[in-house]
Order: sequence, then structure tokens, then C-alpha cells
Amino acid sequence: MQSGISVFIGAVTDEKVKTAAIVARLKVVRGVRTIYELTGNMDVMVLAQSDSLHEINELVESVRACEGVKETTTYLVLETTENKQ
Amino acid sequence: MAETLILDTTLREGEQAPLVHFSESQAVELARQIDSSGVDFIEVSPIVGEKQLQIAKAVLKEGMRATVVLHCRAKKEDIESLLPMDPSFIAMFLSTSDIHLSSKLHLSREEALGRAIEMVEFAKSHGLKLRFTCEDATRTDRAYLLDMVRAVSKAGADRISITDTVGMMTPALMFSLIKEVRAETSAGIDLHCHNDLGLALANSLAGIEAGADCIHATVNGAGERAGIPKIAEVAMALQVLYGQRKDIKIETLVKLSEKFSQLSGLPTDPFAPIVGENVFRHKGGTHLAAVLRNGSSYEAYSPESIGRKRRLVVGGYSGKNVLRYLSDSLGMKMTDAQVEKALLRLKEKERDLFDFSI
Repeated sequence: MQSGISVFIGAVTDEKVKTAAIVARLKVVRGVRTIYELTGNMDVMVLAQSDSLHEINELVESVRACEGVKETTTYLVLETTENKQ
Repeated sequence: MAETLILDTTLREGEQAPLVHFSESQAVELARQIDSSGVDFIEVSPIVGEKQLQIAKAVLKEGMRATVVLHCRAKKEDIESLLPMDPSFIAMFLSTSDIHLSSKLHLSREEALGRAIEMVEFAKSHGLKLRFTCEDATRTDRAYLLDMVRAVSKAGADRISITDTVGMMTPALMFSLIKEVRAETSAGIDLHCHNDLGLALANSLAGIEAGADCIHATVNGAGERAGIPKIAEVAMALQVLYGQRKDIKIETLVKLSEKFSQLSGLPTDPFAPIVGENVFRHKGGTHLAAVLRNGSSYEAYSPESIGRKRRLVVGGYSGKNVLRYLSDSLGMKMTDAQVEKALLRLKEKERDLFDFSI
């Protein structure tokens, strides 16, 4: 059993703000583990983890409030399978 | 009922547990933390060896709020060895059961009674406050035990410890025994109950209800064989069930449990009340649904009251409620159909996937 909650937070960003600047801001949010820059419906995907629902909630709010982030969608991770082949 | 006293004997009984050894600095650190929890007595055993002697001296030097009790045998040389330490309280033990008198001490009942009186009087002649411990009291012939209690009381014992040395009592038997002991002495009565049948705490509480006024305990229940009551359980039972000892800092006792595990290398049982990692972990769907509305529906005491957090487990046992709760808490706006689908996927897993604190 994994201890703690993992979420992916997908963000649509403002094209007028440089993605590198948005990533730099997201990197300092407590609980953010990995930031992916994407193409398609979402521009940025953040993987975040915390033991506490309260902290995850604060983290989601911080991502939403990040300058250059226009809207977010949160996905709860049920299970992670790593391919070690 | 008067407020029940608590004696911590982690540094004496606790170190008698297999694999448990503390350095002097570790013992002093533990003693400081035990003292800060608010217990009344801290017992140490300077007669065991040089290390324990140094620990006792160091603990005495700390100037604890609790009374430091120096534990020894009911022997003149032991008592004399404690005198240079200028103790404020000592505890001497002597077996009283026939099996111990014959197999261990090779003394007759009369000889043991005589030695008990002599040693108590000897210690009192040096101005010491003391506890006399009737080792294996619960397996001692009842009339002889009461003779012993009367005799050491008359000789000046300030406290008398009734020990269930091999943990063979039931709460009802302990209650009736302590009622009889209480009628024979005005001294304080300690209870030192071993946990060989898992009844140490229940027997201790029964003894308190019958008129005893002090329970012996250790961090994580460490002690010979199955140990003795866990100090966190003793304190919490007194608070929750009897409305006593609100001054004891349970949060400190929880931290002490972790510290003890760290120092001893002995993990804490996840099911241990108060300190175990499962104590506030809820899993079943109906339980989670109720707990999310009102924690006390499945909790005897709140996690916040002892500095801990409630945890929820998500997996094959989950219901819709926890998914809806997570969705709402994280602003996910999951539709009913999405929740239903997620639930089906959880049920497929047939195991626990993750847990989290709230």
C-alpha cells in the first residue's frame, strides 16, 4: 500500500507567459515531484504527492494560482505500475 | 477515587526485555522525556551493574520533576549501596510465594517475613522513604501475603507493591485481592502486573478500583517476557475511562514510543492502542462514510486529542463516499458516473492501494 496521495494536475497555460517561467514557479511548490511540458489539451502536467489531503489541496490551489496558469484539471492516481523491462 | 499515580519503569523493567539496552546518554534522554510527560515516579536499578549505577546517578543528577525510585533487593548490602546516592525513594523487593521462596530464595515463610521487617526497619532507620514489593504476590498464600503486608506496614513501608509476576490474575481476582490488602494497610498500594495473558492493564485498573493508587508501566510495555502495561495505554485509560490524570501529556508518550522503537530497534505493533500506526486508520466503506461525518462514530478518542491524525485507506474495501470526498476536497468535480466507474476499478483491485491523512 502506498502511503499518501498522488495527483496529476493538468494545466492550460497563457501563451503570453513563457513556459519556462511557469515551470520555474511550479518547481518551488511544496509537494510537486515532476513537471511535464505537453502538447494537446493540456500544456503542462504536474505530478504531486503528499501524505496529507490538506497539503495536496493547498498544492492544487497553489498551482491554480500560479501566474501563467489559466485553468487546471486534477486527476487522482489510484495505482502506479512501473515498467522495469 | 483519588488521582491514580503512574510509575514508569522503562529504565528498570523495560531494560529487562530481551534486546533492550540503553547507553547512559540514551537512558538519560528517555528519562527526561518520560519526566516531561508528567508521570509521578521513574524507577531505575543501580544494583544491576556499573552501567545501571551510572544511569541512576545521572538521572538523579538531572533533578527530575518525578520522584526517582532506586530499585534493589531486600538485602542490607543493596540498601547500603544506595545510601551514598542520597535517594529520596527506594523500592526493595522480596518474593513471597512458596514457589519463589523455595526455588529461588531457599527461605521459609517465617525467614522471609523476618527479613522483610528487618530490611524495612533498616531503610527507615536511614530516613529513607520506601516501597516494599511483594514479588509474585498474586501466587502467594493469601493469609501469608496479608501477614506480610501488615508486617511491612508496621515496620514503616510507605508503599507496598502487589505484583502479578507471571500475569495469572483476572480483573475480578485482582479486585478482591486488593480489597483485602487495602483493609490491612494505610500505605500506598502499587500494582505491578505482567502481561503474560494480555490482562495486565485490565488487572491494574481493577486493582485501582479496589483501592490501589499507583500503576507500574513502561514505554511500549517493555519488560520480562510479555512485559507490563504500556504507559500510553495506562494514561489514556485513566483519562478516557476515569476522567483522571488530564495532566499527563499523551502526545509526549506517543513520541516516547517512537523514540523507544528507534533506540531498541523493536518496531511498535501497528495495532497497539494509542501509539500504533493503525489506531486512527479507517478502511471499510461504511466506516469511512460515518467517520467523514463524525469521527467519534468509530473512534474512542480523537486523534487531535493526542497529537495524531486520522487516516483513510482507499482500495477494494472503499465505497463511493471516500471517492466523492476526495473529488470534492480537491475540486475535481467528478460526475456520478465517474465516481461509479472509479469505484468499480477499485473493487477490481481487491486490495488496499493507498492511504492518506486528513
